[in-house]
Amino acid sequence: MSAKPYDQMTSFHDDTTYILGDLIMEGSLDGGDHPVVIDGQFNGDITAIDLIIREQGKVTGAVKSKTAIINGHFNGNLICESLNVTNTGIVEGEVQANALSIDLGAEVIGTISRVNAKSK
Amino acid sequence: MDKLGNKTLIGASATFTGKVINARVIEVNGKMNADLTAEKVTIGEAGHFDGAIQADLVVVSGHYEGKMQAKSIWATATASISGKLHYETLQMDRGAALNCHVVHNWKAKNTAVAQIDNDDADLLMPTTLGKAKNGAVPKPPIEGA
Repeated sequence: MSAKPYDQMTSFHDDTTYILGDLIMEGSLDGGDHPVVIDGQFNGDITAIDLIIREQGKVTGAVKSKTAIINGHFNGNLICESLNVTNTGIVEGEVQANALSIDLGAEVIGTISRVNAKSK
Repeated sequence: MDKLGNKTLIGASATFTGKVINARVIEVNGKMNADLTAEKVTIGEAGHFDGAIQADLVVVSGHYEGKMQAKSIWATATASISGKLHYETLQMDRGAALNCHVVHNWKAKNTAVAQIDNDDADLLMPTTLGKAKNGAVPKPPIEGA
């Protein structure tokens, strides 16, 4: 699993994009070279190097990332190099990932396939 | 573990376009294109914000363009602001670049929102300011203005 440990990614600075707990965002977000951490709710498209959906986080839409760690809820279309769905994670929809880890207790509903073309 | 638990951040290399609901404290170090109602908004040195802001406190160190309504506005030395500001207290550091319309709301503390709404309702987004309109009687335009 090439994704950094979850703990390592919570110690970040102002370059990280962080969506706070009770926030609702709609639209498109490009995290650039830094991680995107979501505690709130996001509807729309996300492009990021590392995406972390935390336990309370909820994302609906299309996500393209290098790594994704899902502790919360994801619904939609997910394309990433490596994906980790932790035991609190729920993933619904279409997932394309080359390296995949699903922890015991996670809910994954939908289709899983490998990434066809090289994506970010 | 949460040192990150108190504010929403838009990172330095991030770009966001869209809608934000329920924001309280938000710091923009990247590019943001949205209309925002919040308690505190910080636009960092590298930050670009495009859109309307309604907040208690806005600290601008980066670039802002749009219509801002805030109780306190602090433009630091690196700020560059264009658009329109409605404020009660304004602090401007040496070096700050303001290229905008500035309106003081001192006497209209409680009715500020409604008044602005009447001033130029077409410029405002209905979502954030609409609720303040209750009972507000539109004023006729000042003659000769």
